[in-house]
Amino acid sequence: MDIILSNANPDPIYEQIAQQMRAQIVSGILKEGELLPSIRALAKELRISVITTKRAYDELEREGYIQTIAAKGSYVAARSHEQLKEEYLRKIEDHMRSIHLLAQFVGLSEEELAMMYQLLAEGER
Amino acid sequence: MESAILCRKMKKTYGSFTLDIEDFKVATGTVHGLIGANGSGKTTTIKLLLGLLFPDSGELSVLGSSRIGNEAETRQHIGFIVDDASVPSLVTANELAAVLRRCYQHWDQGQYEMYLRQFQIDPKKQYRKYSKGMKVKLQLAVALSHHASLLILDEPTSGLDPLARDEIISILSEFSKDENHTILISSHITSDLEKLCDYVTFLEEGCIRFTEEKDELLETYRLGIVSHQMVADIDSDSIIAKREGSFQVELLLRTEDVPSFLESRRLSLEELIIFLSKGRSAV
Repeated sequence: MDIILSNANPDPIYEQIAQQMRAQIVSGILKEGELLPSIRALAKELRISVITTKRAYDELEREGYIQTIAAKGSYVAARSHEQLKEEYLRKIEDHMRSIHLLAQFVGLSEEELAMMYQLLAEGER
Repeated sequence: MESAILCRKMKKTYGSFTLDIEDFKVATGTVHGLIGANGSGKTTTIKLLLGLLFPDSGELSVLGSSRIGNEAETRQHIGFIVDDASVPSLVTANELAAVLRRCYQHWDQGQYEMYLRQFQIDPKKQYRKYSKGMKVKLQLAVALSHHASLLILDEPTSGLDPLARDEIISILSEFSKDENHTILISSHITSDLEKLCDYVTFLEEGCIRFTEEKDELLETYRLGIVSHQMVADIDSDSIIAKREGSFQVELLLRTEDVPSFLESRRLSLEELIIFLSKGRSAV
């Protein structure tokens, strides 16, 4: 597991950690059932406080990404690939709803929207 | 035990200086830094906690004991570093161990020798021939060689070169990975505290200005650098402190008060302390 913290990143440190771990869990870099570093070990290695790493782990546990077993440690929670995909589909839908609303405000047609998306996708390629 | 160290309404007066600690707690399993200028009361606080001094009033408790100056049992579990170790000048590291193994029930000679090797301290060399850095390292070797659960360290990295400081910070970091281990470390080298601490207490003129969780403290403030004209565009109520230069003005703001047009960055612990110290021009 790699965690790279950036001082230039406006997000607080616990959020940066949570984001990176979420991404690694979703992409499969961190596998289901994998033992994660203890909050203390992670804190000391990254030179941040244990309160911060605990906060990140607590958030990930609340969201269901990890599970902490007392006296044993924290593990990547068992979730099917389907479950994770569902969550991402839901997020995409939410974004689409926002885009739809904004498009209506400025009177953008569906074709124009589709073209914008295509240009974006091509630009990323 | 929740609090390894607890101080309430603790006062000590020396001539014109008064230390007045309203409320100070060090939670077990944390690394707690004490920052302050020379003369702010850091060393007095540490001496009170080690039982080298007694308070004029108030309560203090270290590892559950409020009679730390008189209780040998509690002191078994405390490792410490102070400025003046009072090791007799002709004593060698070996001879020191011969004495200390009788003082500490849990003296670990193997661990002591390992640290001496790591710190490159010749066990047969007389203390008077030690460099400043070696003197501190010897204290650290002792502090870590009797299975202490609490380390109380007064300026452990002062006078050391960056490499030696880094080495000591790593060792302390390793020590703190155990949830039963606690460290109270006083220093004016804020960059060391920034790497190591979970909590930070800022002491100024004998009083605690604040105690904060370190990462949250650094998250609370932002530094904005603007032109002299731009200062007027910023709500003066949100400017906590400023530093006027010839070509620019540095402003300290709370993160949530930073206006969207202003580019800002986080401050280092050192920069923050400098801004928040008295004698810094307040707004």
